[in-house]
Amino acid sequence: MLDTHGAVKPLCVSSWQAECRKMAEEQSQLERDIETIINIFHQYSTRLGDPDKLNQRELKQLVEKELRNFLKKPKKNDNAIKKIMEDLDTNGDKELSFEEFTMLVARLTVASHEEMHKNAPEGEGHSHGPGFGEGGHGHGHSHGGHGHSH
Amino acid sequence: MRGERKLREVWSSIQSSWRKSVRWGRPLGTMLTDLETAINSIIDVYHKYSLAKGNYHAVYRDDLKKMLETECPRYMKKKDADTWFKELDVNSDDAINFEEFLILVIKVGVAAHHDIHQE
Repeated sequence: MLDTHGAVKPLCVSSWQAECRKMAEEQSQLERDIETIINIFHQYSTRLGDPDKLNQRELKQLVEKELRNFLKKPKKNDNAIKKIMEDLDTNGDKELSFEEFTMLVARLTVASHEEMHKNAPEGEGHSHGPGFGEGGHGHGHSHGGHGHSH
Repeated sequence: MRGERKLREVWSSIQSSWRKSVRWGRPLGTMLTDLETAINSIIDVYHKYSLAKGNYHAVYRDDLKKMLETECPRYMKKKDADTWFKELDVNSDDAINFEEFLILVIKVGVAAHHDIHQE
């Protein structure tokens, strides 16, 4: 799978991860989610050039593979990826640090949440329909009560 | 307050119009990737606490404390629940909305990534 830097090992087992693993059963849902996001970022950032940054090619590979249901496959001319890159690259070094990458994750989270509400069944209480990429059979959840639902 | 202005900048950046320019795909019957599942799971985490009472998209002071203690205890060592609450409640309405919650996720994520490279 790995390109030129195939030999690069996945970036170390951190104290944070080690600590998490030690209490693996107690690792929280949020911690697992964050660990997944960091691991996937590293899976692609280590491929070319700076091992802790995504260049445009690595970003393209990540988006096409790991976000294939959330983001439509970019057209041949690569404009969408270039646009995402330019928008997220706040320091202008043509690469994405993890800090810059988190904004993509944040935007997708907001967008998927909005989608769940768009798809929510009508009725009372708070309810969600499927989020992005979940087709017609999402994990929708709903909570009764009085008042609003979107 | 400088920190607060910074957070405002972060949030206005999240809300930039970029999102509208991307065409979202939603094919039927596909399995979500690990990254996509993690993103949707973050949404679930928020609702575990926001649906506890009151407004469906509001995490109140005591619910935030529960969230921090359960979901990211190791990031409460330097900052207690009250400090977190003040920092996240950007619009000072005494509740953490979904967007404000994402500031927490970003901060904890960046700290976790930083810790990984500390060894």
